[in-house]
Amino acid sequence: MKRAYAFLKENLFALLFTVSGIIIAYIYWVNWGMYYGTLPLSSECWVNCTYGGLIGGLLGSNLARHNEQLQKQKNKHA
Amino acid sequence: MSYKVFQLEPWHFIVATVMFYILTVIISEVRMKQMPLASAETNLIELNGIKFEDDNIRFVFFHDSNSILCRKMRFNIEQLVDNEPDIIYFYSIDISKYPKAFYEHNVSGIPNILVFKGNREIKRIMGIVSYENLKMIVQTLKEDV
Repeated sequence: MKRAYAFLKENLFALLFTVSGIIIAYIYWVNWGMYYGTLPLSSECWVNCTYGGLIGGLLGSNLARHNEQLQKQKNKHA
Repeated sequence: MSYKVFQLEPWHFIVATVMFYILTVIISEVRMKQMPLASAETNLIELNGIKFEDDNIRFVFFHDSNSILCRKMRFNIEQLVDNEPDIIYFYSIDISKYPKAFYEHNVSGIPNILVFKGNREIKRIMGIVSYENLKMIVQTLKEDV
């Protein structure tokens, strides 16, 4: 339980962005993605949501890393 | 006792995205092979041009009778028409016989379904779309318009 909590705390940004990515991808699928079947499985809901989650996670983890570096720099100067 | 917490890094997501893409390509190829072909003769109403007189929603399926992909997509459409005959108007245009409509409506490729309300195009369904998605699209468009 403690480990799970530590994992959540450590990766909060990435996980939040992953969930947001999934939600945005679902909205995209309902309005546009559903009609677009030219790429492999591109009209499938689960494929759109997975891509959304992965891209969201990528952005979130990048942002978390960037924040960490900023924090380190601030601490150095302080 | 101290332990190292696993931290999600950007490269994890990049690797996962690449792996997921490869997986989708494999799954789609397997699915495509398993998809049944429609019969050579279509039971959709064949058109040679687009001109509708009332404001009902109509689906026009652009296809090539020699294309296997089109026949697979036609199977999904015919299944939908057979299961729900009262709610939809589906037509087809064979571009190998009537290419004029294909160029007139700037259709980028086949299979392609153009959705019309009267003579106005309101939506495009491109490529291969599953039966479930097709059913959902038809219901959504019927409710929206």
